[in-house]
Amino acid sequence: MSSSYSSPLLRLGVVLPALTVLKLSAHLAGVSDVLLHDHQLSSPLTSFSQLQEGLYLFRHGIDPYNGGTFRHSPLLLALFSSVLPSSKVFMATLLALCDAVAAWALVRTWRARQNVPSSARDGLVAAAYLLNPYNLLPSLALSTSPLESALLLLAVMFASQKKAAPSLLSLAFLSHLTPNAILFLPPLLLLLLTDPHSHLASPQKISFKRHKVLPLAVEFLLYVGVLTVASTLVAGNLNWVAQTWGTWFTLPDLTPNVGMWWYFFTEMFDHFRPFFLMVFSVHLLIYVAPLCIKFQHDPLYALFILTGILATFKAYPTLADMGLFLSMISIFPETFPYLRFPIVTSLLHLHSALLLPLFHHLWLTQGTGNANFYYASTLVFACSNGAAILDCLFAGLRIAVGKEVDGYDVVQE
Amino acid sequence: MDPQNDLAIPSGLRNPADLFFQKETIRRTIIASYWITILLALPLWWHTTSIERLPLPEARVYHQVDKPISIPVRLCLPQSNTDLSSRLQGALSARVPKGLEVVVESGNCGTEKDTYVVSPGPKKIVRGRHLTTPFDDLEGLTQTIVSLVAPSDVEQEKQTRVAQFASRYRLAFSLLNEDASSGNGVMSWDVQKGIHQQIQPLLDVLKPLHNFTIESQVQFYAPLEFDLRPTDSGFGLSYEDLTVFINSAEWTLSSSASNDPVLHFILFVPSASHTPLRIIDSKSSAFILPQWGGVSIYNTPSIWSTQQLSDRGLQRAFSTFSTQLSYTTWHSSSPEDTGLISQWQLDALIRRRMLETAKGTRDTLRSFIKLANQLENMPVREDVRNDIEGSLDALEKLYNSASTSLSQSFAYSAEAFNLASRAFFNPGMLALLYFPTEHKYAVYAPLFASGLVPLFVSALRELKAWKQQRAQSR
Repeated sequence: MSSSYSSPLLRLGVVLPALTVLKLSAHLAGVSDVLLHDHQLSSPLTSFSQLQEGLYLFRHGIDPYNGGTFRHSPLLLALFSSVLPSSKVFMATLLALCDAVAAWALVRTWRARQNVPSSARDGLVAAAYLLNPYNLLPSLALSTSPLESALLLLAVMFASQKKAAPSLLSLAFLSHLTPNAILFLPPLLLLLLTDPHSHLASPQKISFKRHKVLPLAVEFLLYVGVLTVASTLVAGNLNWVAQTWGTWFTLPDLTPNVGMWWYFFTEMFDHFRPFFLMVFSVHLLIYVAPLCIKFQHDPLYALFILTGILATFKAYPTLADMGLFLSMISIFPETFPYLRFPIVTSLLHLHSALLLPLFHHLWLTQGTGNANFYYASTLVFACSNGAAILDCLFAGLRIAVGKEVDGYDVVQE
Repeated sequence: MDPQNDLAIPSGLRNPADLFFQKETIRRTIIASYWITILLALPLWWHTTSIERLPLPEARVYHQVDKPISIPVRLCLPQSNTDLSSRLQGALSARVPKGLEVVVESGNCGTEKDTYVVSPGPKKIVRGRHLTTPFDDLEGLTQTIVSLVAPSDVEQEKQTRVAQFASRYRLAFSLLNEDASSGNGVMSWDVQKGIHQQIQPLLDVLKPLHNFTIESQVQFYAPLEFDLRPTDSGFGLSYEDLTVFINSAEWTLSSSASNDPVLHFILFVPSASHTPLRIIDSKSSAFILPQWGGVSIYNTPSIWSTQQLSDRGLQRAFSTFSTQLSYTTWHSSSPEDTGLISQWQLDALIRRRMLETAKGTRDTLRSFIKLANQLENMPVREDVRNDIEGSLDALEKLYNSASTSLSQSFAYSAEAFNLASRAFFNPGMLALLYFPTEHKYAVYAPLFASGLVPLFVSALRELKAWKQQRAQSR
């Protein structure tokens, strides 16, 4: 799919370094200091200041998981206290490189999907990831969520290239940072066992070697187990399990973020709290099987939709999660003609992106608003996410019906 | 997308009904997967919303609370005969209150602890557990002994002064200047000396009964909430003013560090414009607030501020506090003793408190069982049940040992009372107290009603289509 207006500026080899340098210079200009404590860009589980606090405690021999404020994985503790320095400049460099790696992985996935060694849209795909403000701002805010996006895109890339072990290893690392990532395992396994090429236009029953599923799943569990053992060795005891993974299921920290859980649980009767935590967690689980069944002909698309659903409904989301979903749209250009309301979705996203920091400021900095303001803006954000997901879902199904014909319209009953 | 409908599908489009993912099996599998997840989550729903109610030892409680308690009081008359002792026992048994059981022995007094020895003598002298009194007539002897063993609590007014029993009291001594800036402020006081001299002896005597924690403070601006009544020689407080004297809203009188009951003792220094402040129709300048503590008013002799309260003022204030404290922890009226409080009086106090706590324990346990039975929504957790069982155990030990050592049985009775109170007021049982069952629907409906409607509708639609298909294929 070559574009007639491809310019040398849009080549991958130019886009990636240029945007990485741009990001670094934005950091060095002091943008990070403004964004560091923004609640939209980093949650208590991805915040840089929490990471530094945990590293400080760890280096002084105190168990960082005893206090209840440090919720990063012990793997990050190990990484930043031994191999890598944890200063702000280094973190910014690391995150810029992570973003570059993620963009490169997205491009490789795109190429694998199109089955070409290189295409004219590579630079555009990379730019769509790197210039997306939902991705750009969290990495400038030094949150660790770009790390998670990079790991997921690497897993998808390796799966598209049929490399099972690196793909499952990346997903295992991601599962340690975010237990929600285990929900990506079914579509990822289907992707490994079939192919990433676009079959959206010609759906058929999936055919894969069923006997290969179990070994791959066991391999994934083995990687997760090894990483668990490593984490326990780093942390010294098993406190980290309740503090990192347990946070996702017990929601001890109700810091406002762009998700929908925090407000709901501030006004929850104590008696019903375990029940609703269970409901919200099962709610994430309930979408995996239907998506994999419906999009069995194109598991990469199922994974893409699942990214969006998890970004909307997970416990501690940041803008980076939605940024991943929105940037991944760029590798499915075949769906673009069939999106029914892309302008509405983009405007809704623009609206919520402006509303979120405004109401956050009104509530928490200025003090003239209250939590309902911010909750309303997170509802608008969820609306815009829902609109995006629904539109992509319909477009993915609509392609199969065929190119649009004047006078006829395909609607859902 | 109904294959039965006669659609003229143009050449560019496929019939959506023919698409692979539109097949019925796919649709039914998807709907089934939603429903299977919901059904698998139902036991989790049951488990997370069930109220934990451990069984309470009801039968044991009812059995225990009906048992009466009787505390023996042993008297010994070493120089008398059995005739006098049996007559004395009869007279005393008629006069002592319920709960006490008097046993009078004569002749050789055993070396048993807690036995009171009564011997004849010219004057009434009380020393330790020994009473020397003239044995003129039975009536007078009975009267004397009863007044020592079980001081009469007929005077209702004095009875209500005594604070309810608690194993730990906090004593809060406050020096409140009404307005130190008006010129006559007292900046500090040597409260440690005052406590050591006047209060500590009393606390030492009461050590078997209560533990005391002492806190003290000085405040420089403690305004009164009402206007003072001017009299000829200054200002006066009428009886109604005394009832509203304490300005609880603006005076922080005790720290809220723990739940123990607090007895407040306030030395109030009126401001220069309100000095001298007296209580109308009364010679004293101090008053007691029943079960709360006491206030003493100190009119500064001169209108300039003093760095520290004078020794005389301190001594007067603390002796007032000591009297007020004694009134609040027991009411005493026995003048014939040497020392602060005699052993007889202390024993009588211990016995009174023991009866009070035993009754309180029985009442608390009974009402707790009734409450737990009435409110089915109230969770009863492990710690509550352990407290109830511990209280019952202590009560049983009390009944078994009431005839032996007094201090030991008192310890059991206090323990039973504390455990029963702790169980009754446990905050973990409050969660669903005012939560009617209908509200549960209000909690579930907003989230689930709207979410389950499409699932139900699609499941019903598939069921209908499936039934139709089966009817057709036959």
